[in-house]
Amino acid sequence: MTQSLLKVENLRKDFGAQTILQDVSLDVHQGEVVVIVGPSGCGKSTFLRCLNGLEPVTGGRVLLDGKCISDGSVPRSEICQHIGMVFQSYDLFNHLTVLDNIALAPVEVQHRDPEEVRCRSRELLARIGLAGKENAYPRELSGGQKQRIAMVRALILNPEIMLFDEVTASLDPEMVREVLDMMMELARGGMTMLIVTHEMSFARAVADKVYFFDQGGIVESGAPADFFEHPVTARGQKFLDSFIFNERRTKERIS
Amino acid sequence: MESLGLRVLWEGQNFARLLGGLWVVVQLSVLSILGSLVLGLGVGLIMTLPYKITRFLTRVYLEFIRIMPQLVLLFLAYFGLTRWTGINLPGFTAAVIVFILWGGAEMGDLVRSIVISIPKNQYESGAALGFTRWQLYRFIILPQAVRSLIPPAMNLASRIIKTTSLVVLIGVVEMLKVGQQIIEANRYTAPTAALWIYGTIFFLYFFSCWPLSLAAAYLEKRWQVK
Repeated sequence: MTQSLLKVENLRKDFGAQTILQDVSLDVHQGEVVVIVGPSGCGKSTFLRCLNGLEPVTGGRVLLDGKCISDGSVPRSEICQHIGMVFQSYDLFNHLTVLDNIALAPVEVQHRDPEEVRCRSRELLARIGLAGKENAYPRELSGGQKQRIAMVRALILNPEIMLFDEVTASLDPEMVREVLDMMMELARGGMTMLIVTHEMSFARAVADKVYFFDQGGIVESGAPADFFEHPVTARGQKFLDSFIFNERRTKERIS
Repeated sequence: MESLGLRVLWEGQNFARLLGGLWVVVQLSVLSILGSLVLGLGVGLIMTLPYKITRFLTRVYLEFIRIMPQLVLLFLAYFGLTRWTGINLPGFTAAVIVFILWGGAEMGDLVRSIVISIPKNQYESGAALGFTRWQLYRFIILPQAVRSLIPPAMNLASRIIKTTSLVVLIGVVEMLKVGQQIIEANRYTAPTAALWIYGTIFFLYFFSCWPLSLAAAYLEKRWQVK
């Protein structure tokens, strides 16, 4: 196996006296799509935020391309250019047009040529079917459109890895689809991705590897077919069961 | 009788003197408002820092200024400072300092409340795009804050303009004082002059504050974002 692009070693994260993540280790290889599932509050989101430096880690290490990025030696602004992130609430900047939302970071953070950036932005917008929306303000767009623009905004920095934190959780079902399609296309294009999601069928389709988190640690991991068909742990089985609406089982549970 | 009162306004240098008084008001107001904006922006941002010591110091500053009537502050800066330290500030300078300290505190609190009301997500998504803390404020937080700041800041500015009428009590001759002098000088020949002089002063104040309201309305409309 080649050297891993992102390596997490014994990661630990405390908030005050409370331990959120404990002893989390995983490897992500170039072009790999890793999906993280687990119940709410299990530390999935915090885990992603530790990777790109939004949260300082309490213990353990995060290595990008063999270089430690979690010890404070690399500034957050530097890390975030290599590891892009998209959030649940598609936080476009409300006072800027779509084009300015996309172009602000490459121009101001990466000091790229504004003309080149604008060209590239238009190209990316056209590719996701949003040509003509350059001068629209976020308030004029649907949730799905905003989320896809948020993805473009992260992608234009040319990150090596993309993190997705429940990006479809606050969208209408129809818009979920357009966002998932875009992620699927990105995955097929060879992007290295870490995805936190509750969309199980999507997880199964897109993932090369699935990690199941619970109570701040990895409970089990494996290929999607194995995990979704035959979870090894009882906890994993119970979690997967909660996504299936089964009348008989519901009755059993209620009675 | 009325015409006699109105005549006083045009007698000799009277109207020009009133305008001279207005010029003092304008200078005092412009300096105080600009100073307050700059100081308030700084103080407001410092208030949002997560350090106990900066929070405590800005809090003490804000509460001190808030508790004191502006008149007391003017007396402290003009009479008090001289008595305690021997520094004798001209009335105009003392007034500008007091109004900037007062306006800066009030403005700071406005800036603080608006900056913390901007959703945390805006900071986070900016941080995740690699913006440094300073860039976040410059490109994302402040431009959004300024838009919400316009109405309360304009309100504060017109309060500052109106409060400049207190400076007469530390010996600065501004429009209101000039008006009183004119009225006093004509007390026996034109007893109704007060109505006309104060009426004129009313309009002069109105026309100094009105453009601010117009500008605020224009900006609010232009920046209507959410």
